[in-house]
Amino acid sequence: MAFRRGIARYRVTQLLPLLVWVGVLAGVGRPHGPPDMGPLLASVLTALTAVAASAALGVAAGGALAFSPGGSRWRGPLSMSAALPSVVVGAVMLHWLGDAFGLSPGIGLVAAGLALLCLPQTVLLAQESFGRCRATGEAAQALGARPSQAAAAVYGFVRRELMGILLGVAGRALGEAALVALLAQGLLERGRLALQAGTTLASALWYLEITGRLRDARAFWPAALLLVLSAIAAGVAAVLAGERREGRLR
Amino acid sequence: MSAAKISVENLSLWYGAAQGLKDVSVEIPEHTVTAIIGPSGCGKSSFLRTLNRMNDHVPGARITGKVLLDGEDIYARGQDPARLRKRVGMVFQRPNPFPMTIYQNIAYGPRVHGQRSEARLREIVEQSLRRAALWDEVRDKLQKSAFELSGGQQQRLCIARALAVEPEVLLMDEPASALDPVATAKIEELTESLKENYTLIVVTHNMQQAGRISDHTAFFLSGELIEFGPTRDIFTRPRDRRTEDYVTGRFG
Repeated sequence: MAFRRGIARYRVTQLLPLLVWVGVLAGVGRPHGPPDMGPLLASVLTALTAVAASAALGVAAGGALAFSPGGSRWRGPLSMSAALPSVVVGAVMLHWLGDAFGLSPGIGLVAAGLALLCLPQTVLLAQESFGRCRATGEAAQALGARPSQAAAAVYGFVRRELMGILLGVAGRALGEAALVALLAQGLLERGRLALQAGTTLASALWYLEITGRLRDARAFWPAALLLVLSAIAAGVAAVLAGERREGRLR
Repeated sequence: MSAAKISVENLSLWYGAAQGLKDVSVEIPEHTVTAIIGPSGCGKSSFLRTLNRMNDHVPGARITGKVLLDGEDIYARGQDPARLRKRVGMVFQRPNPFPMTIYQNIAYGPRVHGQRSEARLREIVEQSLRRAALWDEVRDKLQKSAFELSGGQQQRLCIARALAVEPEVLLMDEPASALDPVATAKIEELTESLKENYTLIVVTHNMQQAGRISDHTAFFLSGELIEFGPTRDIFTRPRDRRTEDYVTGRFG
């Protein structure tokens, strides 16, 4: 019994640190150690969280805006926000949030940042998709439906496009999460901020590479595959839900 | 003439700088069919959409004047358009079923308005489909996609869907213009049977159809209501020369 409790305590103490960068980025303090799963795990978890958050919020907001009077007024600000260079902004935001609120830069924080950065793009694309079904949405509103209920009524028409949106957001989130994870690893190992004046993302990565601190890049392929498969699974689930509503599946 | 269900007082509508309706005043009697006729772009559909505030969704649209439903101004501050649309239903020019089953299409409206009981929903679905003269054709395929129906059946499904929320007024914007003559005849028969329980306002381009189905007719031209009266009078003894020219086919 004591042995089992010891094992359980060991697992808890080993797994809990995974929730923050320091724990995720194993190998800190032993930069020349063998490649590990730290950045891989961090990238996948961060990206998945960001995708889930931005897809859910973005699709709902896009649908509601498409059928709200004056919803088109948001298109300009959303387009501009979607065009922000999110890799740099995300990395800076990570530190700004850390400095401003004294938060530890963990998966949750980075995922929230990424979700926020992916959100304008998701909202915009969802708004466009739902907007193409305006006639049917109007028919729902003529029955007394609110904008969000009208969006739910036309969901079956846009489910395939939404799958594409999910895939796009997933790809973006994975790429950016991986870069942020690499950067964070570099920051932790070097003990200082990499994004100083005159330091670009590329030069930071190059520095990590030549000093042997960049982990085996091939380790990201399984992560990419896993994320794409997850996004496809989410998309297929969305499509099947639409089929069920249409009555093609019984 | 029966009591007025809808009273429109000095209604004007603008889309940005362009005026769509000019100082329209009319009283629509209860439990009758009113046809709205006029050439393209004369404001028929715009007028219809002011009656359930569907123009609220058009950017730049604004109105002046009053629209009273049972004496209550539907544009007054605090009026909820969603609640209004439960009382004033609408059927559009083209059939537009939702991407759902036939059953779900009909149950959608009541569900939106809070009906959760499946037993009650089944009753509503059957009753609405019967009223729309569609029950016998679809009773065995309620769980099939609404897109498996023909165009005429889809339009009757849309009418059944509108009836399912138990409106008092039903607005129909050229409901038969995309249908063949057989399906059109069914929609016309349906219109006649529905007026016992509802007040119907039908926009149509088809003068014969207006003559067949309506009790009253309103003639619009360039955003103005030129003439309103019993259909027989409009078609046989119009007071205005422009109405006569239109109904006799001199223009339009």
